[in-house]
Amino acid sequence: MKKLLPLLALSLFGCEEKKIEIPDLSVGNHRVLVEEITGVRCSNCPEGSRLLTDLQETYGKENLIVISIHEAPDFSAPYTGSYANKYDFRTAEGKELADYIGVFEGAPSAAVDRFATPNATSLFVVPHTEWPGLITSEFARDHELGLFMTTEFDESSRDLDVQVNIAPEKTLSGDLRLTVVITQDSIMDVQNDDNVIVKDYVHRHVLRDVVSRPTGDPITEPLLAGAVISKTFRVSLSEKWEAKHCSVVAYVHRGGDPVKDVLQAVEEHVE
Amino acid sequence: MKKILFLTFLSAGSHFVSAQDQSKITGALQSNGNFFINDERIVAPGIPQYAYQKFGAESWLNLNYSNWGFDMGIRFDLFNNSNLLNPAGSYTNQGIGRWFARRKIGSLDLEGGYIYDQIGAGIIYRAYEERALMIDNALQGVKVGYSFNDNWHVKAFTGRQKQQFDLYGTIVRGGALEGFIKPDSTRNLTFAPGVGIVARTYDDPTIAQIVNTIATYAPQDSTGAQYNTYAASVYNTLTAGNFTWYAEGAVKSNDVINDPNAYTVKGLKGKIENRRGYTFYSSLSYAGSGLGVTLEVKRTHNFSFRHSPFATGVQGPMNFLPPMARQNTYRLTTRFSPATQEIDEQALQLDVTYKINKKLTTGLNVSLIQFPDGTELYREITPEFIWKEKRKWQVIGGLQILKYNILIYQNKGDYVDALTPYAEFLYRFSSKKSVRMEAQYLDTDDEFGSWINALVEVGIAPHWLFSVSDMYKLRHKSEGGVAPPVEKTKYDGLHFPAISAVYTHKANRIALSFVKQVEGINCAGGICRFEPAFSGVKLQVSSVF
Repeated sequence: MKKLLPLLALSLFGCEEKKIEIPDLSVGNHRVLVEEITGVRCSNCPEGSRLLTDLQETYGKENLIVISIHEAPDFSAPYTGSYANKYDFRTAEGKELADYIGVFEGAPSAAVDRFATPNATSLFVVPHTEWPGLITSEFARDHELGLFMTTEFDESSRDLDVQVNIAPEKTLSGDLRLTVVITQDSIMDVQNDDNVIVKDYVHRHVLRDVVSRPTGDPITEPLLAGAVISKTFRVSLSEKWEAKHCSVVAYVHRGGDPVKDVLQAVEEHVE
Repeated sequence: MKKILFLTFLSAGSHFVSAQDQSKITGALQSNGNFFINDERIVAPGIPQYAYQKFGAESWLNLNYSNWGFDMGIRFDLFNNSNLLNPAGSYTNQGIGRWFARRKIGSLDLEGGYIYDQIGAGIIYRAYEERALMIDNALQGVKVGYSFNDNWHVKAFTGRQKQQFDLYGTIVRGGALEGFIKPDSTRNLTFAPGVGIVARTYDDPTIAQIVNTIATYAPQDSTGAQYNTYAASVYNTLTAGNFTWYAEGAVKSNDVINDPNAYTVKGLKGKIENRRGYTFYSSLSYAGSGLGVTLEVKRTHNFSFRHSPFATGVQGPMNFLPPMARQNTYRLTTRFSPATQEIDEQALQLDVTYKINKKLTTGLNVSLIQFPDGTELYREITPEFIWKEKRKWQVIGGLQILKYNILIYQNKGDYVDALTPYAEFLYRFSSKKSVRMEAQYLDTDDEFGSWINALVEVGIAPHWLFSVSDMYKLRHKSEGGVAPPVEKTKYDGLHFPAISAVYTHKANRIALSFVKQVEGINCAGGICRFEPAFSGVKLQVSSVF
């Protein structure tokens, strides 16, 4: 027994622990899309939102694109009474989009490029402390797909024309889809922030409309290396939305189930 | 692999015919069928079972076979549109949930497959199953045990713990030495000492996730990471006369853990951090002369021990921290239950029962749980009495005085202060027929406000048990013409009835019930999670053979 115990201890504890180097941050050609599930009654959600804002400052807003979908079940209905919300951020398309991405497992949660982490039961990731690592990993992936967008907004008619050019650098196959949405930033309205009802909370990246199908428009053209596929959309911007804070987000993603990875994303301001 | 195992099992089973005198097959079946009936007043929108699936089921079928000194077992698990894994989601999968083979050769004990085990009270390692919460973290690996004599035993194990039908990537290894000492055969004095160690090695994807997260932190928040974490504990059960004293102390080396309440230097809430941890747990009991006393204390510091720092709730635990609150049974006294805090917690629980005479027994339970800075998390004081009138009837009465930090446990509101008087009356008409009635009134201004609950249960032994209950949400009153906010009044005036019939025949049980259940905390074995409301019919079948 006396001989066994030191051997057992040695095998369990081993030698000195190897120090792990923390890598420097880098951004490649791949822009990362975060689809965040939130709600005005969700007290934890502002922490997730602040984290994403901070990460946008780290990586650049043009590289880290955020869409905030107000579809946290039981947390997204507008407040009523003395601290009533001015807006109801929920939309039927937003719900369809959230349902398509994955199962809600708590808030705040977010899909990072709709990438499935090992053993995950949903593409929506909880807790929010896990998001930075996933976002960093996603920047390292390059699907060699160029995505470009132009927007033209007519202030009088409020018509918004969107052209999306898909430019693969290598041939891509499978069920690929294009999703186009409109978001609005900097909306001041009521929000539960850490169990305090804040009347002048600034809501970020709020999903306003889904221009394509919420499940994505199938790209029927072959995505051959060097080809350019153009898609155009016309949408009438609601007068309730401030155009100067509105953006169009377009992204190409896989359409399988459960594989729905986002290959590339792009964001352009309306004005 | 699974096919080979199954064939092996079948061939072993066929041997049952030729060697019946030595072999033994046992088994158990547990099945749940849930028929979901939407009720927009209580069920949150978007839950697929209510929206369109309508039915969900879970089932576990165990078969165990013993022969030639071997013990073998296999378990088939099935989940169809189940809400067990995620109460607001739907999970479907089926397959072999467990298999194992065990052989004892003299002093040597060998086991392979999916292994349930624990060291001490489970503080550094526990592989177990808690079906009500979909916890099943059996170790897929091997275990070797050796008995030096009747009193001293050593074991070592290694493997990976399961996650549904998959495995976590992390490697677990550990061992324990446990003994039993009785210095004097004429006195009731015994020691049951033990020492255990466990090590966990993160896999590369987990490490990549960790370093990629830390890479986004400011240098002040970057506390490093490592592949291996070690935990060790020393424990002992001392029995002396009427006293039993259990004590366990555990330490853990640097481990990257998720602290949802820690702030980064940028002021963001929640981060992962590399920290050492410790836990101390002790329980002292006295039983004799009609008096039973149990005093428990626990101090936890950074003792989250999981397969990934990002695994939260009931997912990914490698260990088990003993709960420090009374295991309540009534519908309203269980409404506010405290989940164990892994990062920091200090707790004390005192449970006293005293039998005054043959008829009257009194009891008092006190549970206090705090953060080390004194922030109160949970305080429950429950005096209780039991009056037994021969074998004819029995009355239980008590009062739960509760303070519950609902901000920490459920992330809403502030504190819940509640008073819940309760009573139970059991009357036996004959040795076969009985009726049991219970009632509780939960009085509080917090969360949704006050509730009442009543239950009548009729037992016709040995087969039938019928019960009807209703939990009712009392309406709020407007104060000064101002109506309370919708969040508080959303269940006002609603009934949450439950009607059930249970048939038992030997070791077989069938239960059919119609249930409406309000959202709240569901605890099993000291592990708790938030669950949304339920509305529908439940069919439960269990059989042991």
